[in-house]
Amino acid sequence: MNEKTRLPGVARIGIGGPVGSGKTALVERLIPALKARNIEVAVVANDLVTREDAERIRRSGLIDPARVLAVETGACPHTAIREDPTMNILAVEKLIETFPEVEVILVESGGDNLASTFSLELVDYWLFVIDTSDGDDIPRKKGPGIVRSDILVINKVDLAPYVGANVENMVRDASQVRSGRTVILTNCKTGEGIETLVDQLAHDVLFTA
Amino acid sequence: MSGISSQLALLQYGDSFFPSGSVSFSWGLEGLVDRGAVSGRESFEAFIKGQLRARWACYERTVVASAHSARDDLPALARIDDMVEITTAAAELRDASCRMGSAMLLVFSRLGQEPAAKYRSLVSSGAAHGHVSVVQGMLWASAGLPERDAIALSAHMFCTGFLSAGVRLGCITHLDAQKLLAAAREEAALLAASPALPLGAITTHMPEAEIAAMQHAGLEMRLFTN
Repeated sequence: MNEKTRLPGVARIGIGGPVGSGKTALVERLIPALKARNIEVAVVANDLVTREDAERIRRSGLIDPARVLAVETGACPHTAIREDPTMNILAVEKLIETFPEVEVILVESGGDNLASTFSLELVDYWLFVIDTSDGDDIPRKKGPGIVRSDILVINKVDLAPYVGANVENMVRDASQVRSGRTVILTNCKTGEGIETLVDQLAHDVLFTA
Repeated sequence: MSGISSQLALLQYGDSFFPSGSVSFSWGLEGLVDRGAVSGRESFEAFIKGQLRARWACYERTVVASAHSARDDLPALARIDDMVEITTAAAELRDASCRMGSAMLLVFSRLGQEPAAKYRSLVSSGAAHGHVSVVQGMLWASAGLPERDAIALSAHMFCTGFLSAGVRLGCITHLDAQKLLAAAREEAALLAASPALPLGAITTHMPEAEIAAMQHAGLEMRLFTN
């Protein structure tokens, strides 16, 4: 095995966005992409009404199931990542204690609306995921998730022609409301855009680029 | 701490705005609602009054008061913790109690409360369990709340935990919750007027809720940890 240099600390990366936008699919793409760069990963999944997302990631074969913890949010997914992120912070701490080799913890929020944001007590950096099938006017509707996230991911770009979404307009509007901060297009089914996203994470938060 | 400062502290720690991790727990209520055992305001009132009589008055109240008296005496707190551990039958409720206790220790530690950090270390080392009612009594004493306020806060949080979960489960409305909280307050005051049981005699008997908590993991749709 090659010698590797450990990251200076554990990077906690939040992933928020509406139900069905592709957050779990993104996590499933990020795990192998980060592992390919020799980065040790763990996951905290916040499910809205079941443990489905956590179980899906555990069964994916992409990661040691013990490295995936689930947090139930009592129907308040935004509360659990913002006003009272205590149970999520405990989960993150447990992963760090159990797996000291972990360098990146992905905290996937339970699906919510465009207003959810992450507490910076819980994460160091966060992504917000929307998708083309929600309508190409979504970026214009702003919302704290779209405006304030460190990276806005527009997923399911392959579906745009079928749902009448204009991706160019989405990127233009998103860039405008985000004052030019990063917007990345992905198709989590094929992996399109994932390397670009990981490059950006490596530069912004992992400090390996 | 006295006067208005103490009252404001009481409001701060009793406010749902104060982070405690409580939003994740229903303490068996979700299972009872799922099977229709609790449905609507009337049955909710019977449920919450039953919980106050069969759990809070004869168990939680004594544990909180004992931990409040022990304050920063870590071995004494650990002994109270042991008592809670051996008298809580359902593993799911023991686990949830420790998780919420850990959450409160984490918050108070990060707020700079030294006893919280010390007890947190003890829990991390495995020398104490960190059950929530023990942690509450200890933390509130360290925060300067008198015992009477700690008992009142315990009753309030005990009730609001259920009521808030009930609203989110669609079992009661937001106005039902306020009416029930007022009724529960009267019930708690009556119960608190009678002498508390000594720690060695604490008892709790709420089999239906305990069974619901035990069966909770099998629910197909689940909003809460328990």
